[in-house]
Amino acid sequence: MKKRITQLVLCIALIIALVLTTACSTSSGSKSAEGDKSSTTTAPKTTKEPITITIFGVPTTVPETDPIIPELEARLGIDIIIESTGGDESLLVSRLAGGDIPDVFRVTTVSNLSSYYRDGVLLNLKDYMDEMPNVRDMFTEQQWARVTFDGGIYGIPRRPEENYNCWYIRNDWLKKLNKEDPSTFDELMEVAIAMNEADLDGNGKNDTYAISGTYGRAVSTFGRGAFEGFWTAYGVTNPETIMIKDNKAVLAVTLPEFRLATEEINRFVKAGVVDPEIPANNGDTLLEKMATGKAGICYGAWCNYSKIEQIERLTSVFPDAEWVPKRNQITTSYGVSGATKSASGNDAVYAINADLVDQPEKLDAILNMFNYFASDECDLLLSFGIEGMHYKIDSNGTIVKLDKMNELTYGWGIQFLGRPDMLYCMTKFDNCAEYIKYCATEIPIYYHYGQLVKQPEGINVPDIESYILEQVSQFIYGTRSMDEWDKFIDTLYKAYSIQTYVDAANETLTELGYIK
Amino acid sequence: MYLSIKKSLKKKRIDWPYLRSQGAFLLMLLPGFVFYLIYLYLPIGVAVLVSVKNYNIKAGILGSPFASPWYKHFKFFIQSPYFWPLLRNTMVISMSKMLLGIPLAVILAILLNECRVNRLKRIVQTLTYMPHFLSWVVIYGMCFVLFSETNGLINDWLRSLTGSTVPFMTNPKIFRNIVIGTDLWKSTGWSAIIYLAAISNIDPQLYEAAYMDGASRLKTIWHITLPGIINVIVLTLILRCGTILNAGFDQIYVMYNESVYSTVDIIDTWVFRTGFQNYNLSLSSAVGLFKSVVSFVMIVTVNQISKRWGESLW
Repeated sequence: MKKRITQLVLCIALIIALVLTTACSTSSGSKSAEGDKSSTTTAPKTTKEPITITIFGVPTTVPETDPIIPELEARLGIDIIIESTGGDESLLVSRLAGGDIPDVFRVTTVSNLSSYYRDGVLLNLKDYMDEMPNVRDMFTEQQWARVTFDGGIYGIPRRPEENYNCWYIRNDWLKKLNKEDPSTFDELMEVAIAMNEADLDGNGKNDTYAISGTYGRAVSTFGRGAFEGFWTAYGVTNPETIMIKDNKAVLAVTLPEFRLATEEINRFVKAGVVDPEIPANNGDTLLEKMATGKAGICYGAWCNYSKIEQIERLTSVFPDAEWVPKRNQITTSYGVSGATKSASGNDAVYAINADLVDQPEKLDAILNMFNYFASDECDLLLSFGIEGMHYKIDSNGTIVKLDKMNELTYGWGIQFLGRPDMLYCMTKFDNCAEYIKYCATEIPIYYHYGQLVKQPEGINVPDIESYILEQVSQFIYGTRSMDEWDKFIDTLYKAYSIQTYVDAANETLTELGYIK
Repeated sequence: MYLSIKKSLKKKRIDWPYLRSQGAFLLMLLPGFVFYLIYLYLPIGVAVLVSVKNYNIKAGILGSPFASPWYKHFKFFIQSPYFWPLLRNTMVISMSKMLLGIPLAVILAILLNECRVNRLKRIVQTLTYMPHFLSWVVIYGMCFVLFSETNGLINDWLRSLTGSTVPFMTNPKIFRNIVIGTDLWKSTGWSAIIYLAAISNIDPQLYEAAYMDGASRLKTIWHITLPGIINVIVLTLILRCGTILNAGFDQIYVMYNESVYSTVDIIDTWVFRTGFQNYNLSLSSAVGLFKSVVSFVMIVTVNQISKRWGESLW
């Protein structure tokens, strides 16, 4: 009997332990969240408890020493909890799927935004526009269009950035080879072959592939654009994007010019001047290749080549290395090489939890916050930091950068509605001013419109996109012969029903006035 | 206890007095039972519900409307152009990992067992199971350093020996072998432990008797060691068959890129992209459920087959 009682006691102890462990794990979780809060809290202005607003999905990690958010809190008299996700949408999806909807959250793609709208997660801002006059006036009708569903407004866009992308080339190699900056593909081929063969990295091995970059899924500041220079030279955008040709929406990959451009790239691959593992590159491996003299021509944003820390890295092995934007654009009878850009501006938008209708006080605070985000005063704070600490304004009224501004590397993540881009870049990265201006004003821009198109029922656009990217890379590298191109396009129409998508695109773009 | 329950099941009547006498033990079973109920059975129910509904965050699982027809998401997946490629990739990778992994682990275990130099044995064993503790991110980094076509070590050698290079990381077919190979490298040493344990359970008298009869090393391995661990081999085979559609999400998600989708994009990576990155929870639940059903069928079938050899799970 005694033995049985002992067993019983043991069992109950075990169960209690189990329950306690679970309970503890939840309580410790909430504790840490409170800890975050207190670190950014400032003394409230009123005696009333300040309203706490959670902003979820911020793409950069805000360090504990950050002075900007506390300043923002003080100005608005609210508490802000920033939850960073590094831009990973799956974290938002898991949070929403658990029914725990943050007050304000960042949505990265338009197809997800439309799904959240369908589920009724998003607050319709249409009726609240009068409370946010600054926000209302900040964006154009076409920028609002991508967050509009069935007449309601379900998100707040971000101001678009200027173009940052172009081809960069090793100027010191050009000089060494005594070559001119190429302006046709034949000249480019000549330069690339010369770079390959001259063994400019001097390691005695024939291991340089003149042209490199990143492609596809790889997330990096180099974007997806290893071949963007080729495609735009033929007047087309990236393969999986919707573009307008002859006043009609089309999927870029289906155009005959796209095939020609791919054949062109294929010619370069066969000549052995294209890095064979561009799809496997990420920002880091690419920088490594560039720094060690394995590549001489790369496509990407100026910030990869010209920021001080990047220059340091790129010259770490070869101190003479000099990466400069390619000044002569490659020209064909179809177009001039340039950069592609989404017509709707930035991909990511901020949305507000629909449940907040029941908490008018909090909702007011949020609307007030966004209205403040769209003011000039807040632009200064979020873009440049705190006056006297990060910047000063001289007698002419120009913003002058102070050393401490360099610490705000996470700044772009908390510029919730974007920034006055040109002013921002030219001030913060003053050493790159020449390149920033060049990319923004002299590179031809080719627009794509996929982000404006709502996904039609019955097809899965992300699947179409990854299939296209995968197949195009096979054609580029010759794993699949160009002879099968028509078969590939046929599969797109038959198995992936791209016509439905293109029809939807035509409809939307006509509504928005892009197609007349 | 087991026998008694079996007996009582045969009679189709529960032996209540006996069960009552085991009350404390049954109570001890309770936490485990509750654990399985909450973390395994409840999710199955939820997954089934979500997969036949159009899941809506606001309405919740119970309140979401049913899909019409209820098998809409299953149909969408099975009729989609990527169904067969995904299934094929998953099966090829998973089967290769299983069919190569088990024999390699058994061979390694036998080799270690036959090794007479204790020090060497210990060093080799430690070296072979160490990769098990590396994360896939680290292994991918190592792969890139070794196999990269531009600055990888192996391609450097190939370049100086033959003048040409091999696209290990971007050719779909070769990359699949890299995926399988790295998995074998990572897991073989670890899986060998279970076979080593089984070998140490074999009665040493058998070996002595064989030695007396003049059996060679190979003969003892063939006639004593292997039959001695065959039940463990079959057991692991059955267990692996239960997870046949798990071709290794974490590994592939870290390692793949667009140019190799055609051979290494598996069901799990697709489900992750569709469900969590593109917010289509009902569709991904349906696919998850499809996976579970296939796994269940596999495990029952393999168990039935292995019964013929006298080995089985139940």
